[in-house]
Amino acid sequence: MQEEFKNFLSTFQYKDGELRQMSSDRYMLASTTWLTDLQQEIENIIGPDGAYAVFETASKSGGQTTSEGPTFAALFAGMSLEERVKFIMKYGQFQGWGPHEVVEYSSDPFRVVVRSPRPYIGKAYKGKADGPRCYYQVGLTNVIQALANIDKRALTLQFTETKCVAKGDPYCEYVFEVKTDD
Amino acid sequence: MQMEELFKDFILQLKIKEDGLVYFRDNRSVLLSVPWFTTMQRELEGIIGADGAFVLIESAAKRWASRAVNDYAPLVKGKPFEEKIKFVLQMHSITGWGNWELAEFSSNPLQIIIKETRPYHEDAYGGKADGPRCYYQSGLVALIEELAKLEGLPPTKGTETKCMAQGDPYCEFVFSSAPE
Repeated sequence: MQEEFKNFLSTFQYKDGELRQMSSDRYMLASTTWLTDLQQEIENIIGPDGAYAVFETASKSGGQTTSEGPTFAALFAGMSLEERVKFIMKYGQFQGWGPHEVVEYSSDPFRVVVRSPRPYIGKAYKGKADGPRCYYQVGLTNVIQALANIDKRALTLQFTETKCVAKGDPYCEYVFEVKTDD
Repeated sequence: MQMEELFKDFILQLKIKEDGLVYFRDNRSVLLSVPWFTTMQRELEGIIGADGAFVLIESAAKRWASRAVNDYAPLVKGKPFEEKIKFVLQMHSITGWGNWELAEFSSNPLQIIIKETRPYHEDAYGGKADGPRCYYQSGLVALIEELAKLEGLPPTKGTETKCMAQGDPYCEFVFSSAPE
């Protein structure tokens, strides 16, 4: 794990105030406490649904940009879609999102279930939220779609957080599956 | 310290620990995509307006600053205030928050001007915003205000006076003693 993490970090460069990975995607380091504070500030003003919508748009944009960059395609040469999905979860862990385990994978119909015992929201909600709160993770939807698209497989996925430590569950659980028209 | 050395040190300070989480100097951290920040900001502006977005982002940023000042204090202990600010700006740059420099420093009366040329909002506003847009930098502003407080200086207030979002050639923040 340490060696892999070191390799991951070696793909970053700094130049003139910009932290970039493989000279492409730009990143900034932020504390998870700050990110959660920001999320809760937004919830206080526009409510959880509003906050989710804002994070969803932003996260999809972030996920889209990442998956369009040259870094992204270069990472997955020779891997099956399942391997790519598992790889991206490890990659997300290295970015600081905590361990993510793929506990279920089905190719057709496409469905992936991911568990995260240590989400970025930490203990901010003390298990008392009235719904899931890992808004940021919706961005993985676009990333997984892009992973499938490497094989020219067009997937339109929906994201559902079925369990969340924010509401007292022992871990967070994210389901990515083919979008249904309802 | 030169930026290259500082970057090497920054990478060395990023650790993945046994709990599977990433820490920078013992603070749990994430590498966030810059387009995410900008889209989030613009979405908020669309819903609650520019002033509302600023106030909301500033509130979380100030809480960050009140914690960060404790992390920075031992790192800059014993240095003159000017050097402390330079160090903070270097760290802010190296962590990807833009290309910062201390453009002017005067201790009596207090006048600090900091500039940056690589804002996180990049070209999102096309230079056409009707005001400054570096909302997330309110954390840096609050951190410098907190450091001034630790120096025993009178209350200090920082304001964004120029911004590339509104067509200026760089972003600029001016700090001075707040009026009594």
